Amino acid sequence: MSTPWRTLEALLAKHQAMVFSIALRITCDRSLAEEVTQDVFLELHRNLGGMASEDHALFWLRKVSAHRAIDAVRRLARIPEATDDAAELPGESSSSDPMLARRLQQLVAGLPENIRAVIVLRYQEDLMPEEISRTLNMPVATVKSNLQRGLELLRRKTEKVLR
Amino acid sequence: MDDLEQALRTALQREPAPEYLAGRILSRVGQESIATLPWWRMPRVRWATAVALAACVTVGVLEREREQRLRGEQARQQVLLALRITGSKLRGVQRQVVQQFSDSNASDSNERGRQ
Repeated sequence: MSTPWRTLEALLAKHQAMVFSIALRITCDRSLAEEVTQDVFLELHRNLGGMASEDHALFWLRKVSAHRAIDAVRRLARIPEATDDAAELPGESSSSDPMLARRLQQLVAGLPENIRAVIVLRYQEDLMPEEISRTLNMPVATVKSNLQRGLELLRRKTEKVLR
Repeated sequence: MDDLEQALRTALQREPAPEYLAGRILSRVGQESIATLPWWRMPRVRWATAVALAACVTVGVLEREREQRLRGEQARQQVLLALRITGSKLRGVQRQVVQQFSDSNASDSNERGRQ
């Protein structure tokens, strides 16, 4: 008998925002993020029987979303630039400083996709470097160096704004 | 956690997925489920089988009715033939009876004439 969490509808209702957000921050393209989200949930449906628990499903969703999004970006050979064009970027967050939030989103979009994925998983999903390492199949040391490199790049560009 | 990290956490909050997305995903899952069904469980095949069965039943019923009508017609023809035969036999018998009656009348009047 299937437990309630194991239905696609339940997982979709609970985690679609997470999957869509990871895909959106990494691809920086709404329609591509929608496509990635659809593909991820279709794959989840095919593998639903293999999910041992809800936590396993959550880990699987994060992992597959990040990988599919990185693949999609690489397939299109598209590296988003840190431009002022916010059309492709997520809408305003509930930040106390919407301008800063918008600027940070643009700057994150301009990072190389590996660093971007690490930053997204760290600050959007609140994952620890060890969890990011498992999610992205990346050594912990690489995750930490990517994180530091990303923060360094962002810090340099936002110094004036944050000061 | 420094200011930048705090600002990143705020800026990178989860974005709600578009409302239509869940519907699209469920519809694609439905289509995929249909595509992976064995051929005999495909809706089109099921419909075609149902239509073919209904056609067979209808043709069977119509054929049975036609056979019954034919048998009824044959029986009617046989009854009519029997009635015709009976009628002609009766007419023959009637003719003989009339013939014998007229013959006996004629012989009686000859007898009376001779006396």
